Amino acid sequence: MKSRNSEHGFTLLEVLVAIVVLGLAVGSILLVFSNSVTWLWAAGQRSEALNAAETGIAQKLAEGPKSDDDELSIEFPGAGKMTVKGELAEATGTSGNQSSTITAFLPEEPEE
Amino acid sequence: MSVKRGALSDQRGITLVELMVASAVLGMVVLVASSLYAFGASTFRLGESQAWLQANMDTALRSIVSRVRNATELQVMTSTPGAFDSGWYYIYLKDPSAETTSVQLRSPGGSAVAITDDLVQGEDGLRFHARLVEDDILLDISLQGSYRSRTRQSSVTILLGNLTSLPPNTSGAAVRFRLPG
Repeated sequence: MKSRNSEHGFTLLEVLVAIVVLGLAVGSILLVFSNSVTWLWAAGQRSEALNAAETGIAQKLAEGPKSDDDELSIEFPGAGKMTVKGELAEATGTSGNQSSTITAFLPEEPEE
Repeated sequence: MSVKRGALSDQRGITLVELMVASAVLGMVVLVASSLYAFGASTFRLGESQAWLQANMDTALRSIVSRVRNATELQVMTSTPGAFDSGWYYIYLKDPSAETTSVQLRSPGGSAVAITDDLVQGEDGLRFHARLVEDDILLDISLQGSYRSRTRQSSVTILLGNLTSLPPNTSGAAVRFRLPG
């Protein structure tokens, strides 16, 4: 019983320091929370960028090649090799600070 | 009861000043803690709504694109069809007059499934627009939805390589199409 009397409680300063330390810990956890929302937003923008890139490449596919500077070669084992001239086209879509690029080969229309 | 006679009975009470300081400190701690909690909870709720909306819209758009892209025959309809012919796939809004509704995909066999939750806007939530570029047919697809306080608009354009002529009606809120095989 004597020993109880000789115990010291926490001083106000100690309590305040403890609260500040706890606050920092909780604050850093909340930072992770709000970061996850930022990443979520970025994911949304990424899919918007992909849609924009897909739209761009659909437009280019429809318009056809602007040049015949590029070649696409396919080798068939035992049956030779075919080469098609055309344009290697790229379409990039952006949304926010996310971007997405699709590359497609636009073959030249065969001459009749 | 024996404790009272021992150590505790010797102790003095706490003064009013000590009590006030203690309750002021406690008050501040509770205030900060509750505002942190409120911030965390609202952030979580916002993120959850946005995630749900994004997941719904993006999966639905992907699923529409992957089917419609291969269409060998396609017709754009002005609104949700009243009757369905067999042999066609249909994509339409379940209830265009509702504030929010779902996008339905009906297969040639006659079974319809919702490919989104009830979060697509009834009016102009789903739009199709077919157009001609050079000799090719492009189809613009647009989806608009809202969930809780969040809204999202997704649109994409695809090339319909298997079609030979532009459909007679070019704009509308529903399509029907046939797939090869």
